[in-house]
Amino acid sequence: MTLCIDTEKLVRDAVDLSIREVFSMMIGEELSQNVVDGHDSLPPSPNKAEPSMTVLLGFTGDIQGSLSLSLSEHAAIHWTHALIDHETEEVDQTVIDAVGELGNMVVGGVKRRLAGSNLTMSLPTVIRASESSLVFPTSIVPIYIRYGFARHQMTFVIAIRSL
Amino acid sequence: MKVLLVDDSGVMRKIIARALHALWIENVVEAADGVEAIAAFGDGEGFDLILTDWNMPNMNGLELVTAIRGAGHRLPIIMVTTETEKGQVLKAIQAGINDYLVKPFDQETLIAKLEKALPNYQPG
Repeated sequence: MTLCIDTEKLVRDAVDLSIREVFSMMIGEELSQNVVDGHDSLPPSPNKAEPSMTVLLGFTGDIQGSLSLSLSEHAAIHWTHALIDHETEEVDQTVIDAVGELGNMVVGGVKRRLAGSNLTMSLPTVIRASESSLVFPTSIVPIYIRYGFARHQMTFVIAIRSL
Repeated sequence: MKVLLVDDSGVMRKIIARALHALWIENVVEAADGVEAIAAFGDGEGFDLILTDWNMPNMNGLELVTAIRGAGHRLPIIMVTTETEKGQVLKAIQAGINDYLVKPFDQETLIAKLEKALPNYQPG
């Protein structure tokens, strides 16, 4: 099924506003948006130089899909430190929890902005990997949005279809 | 001043506890779910405020509020949550919360909610 472009834009705008709101309100940082990849773009290459973390959430309702946010472990540590002054050189359970909370708040904002879509969200799952890339079945056409904060980058992947 | 802080996220408890400390509220009792909160609350002696998340394992925030109000306690309760669906908010109000704080929030907003819930509180 070809996704209605209006729905796609609706979700993408909700995601953009939500993630900017989280970073601005919780740690006082403004995000820069580097690239928005459309349907014809290849998935971003795995970051072979640095392990990464991905927080993944699913949702269903009038719109069905998943949201994932990938960032390097250094970016995750930076986020955690900015959020609660947590000092660590390596990813620990607090960093994992903070990344999960990041995903939780972004998705909460998306749900709030799409209040008419009767969305139900899943619990966030945090994945750590030394090398990874997100891939999808042919029926799903993901949207990639890259953001910069401090000296870090993160990638948001939106995979949706309307019912 | 004694506050019961209930959230299954240790990170969120730290964020809120920091804001409480900024208001010179040091006596913060933490619980990771409604069951722990009920045990920590006891007969409510000495508690001035409850801050609770909604979605928690074992006993969620709504059930906690219902239990606290059902036992006759009238202290202020603020729900801190990402949940904003109107029907759910109404449920929380009907259960007896005094205020609602939507995540994400900035420190200023949280402090304003706390000051509204505790109008007679004097720091220091």
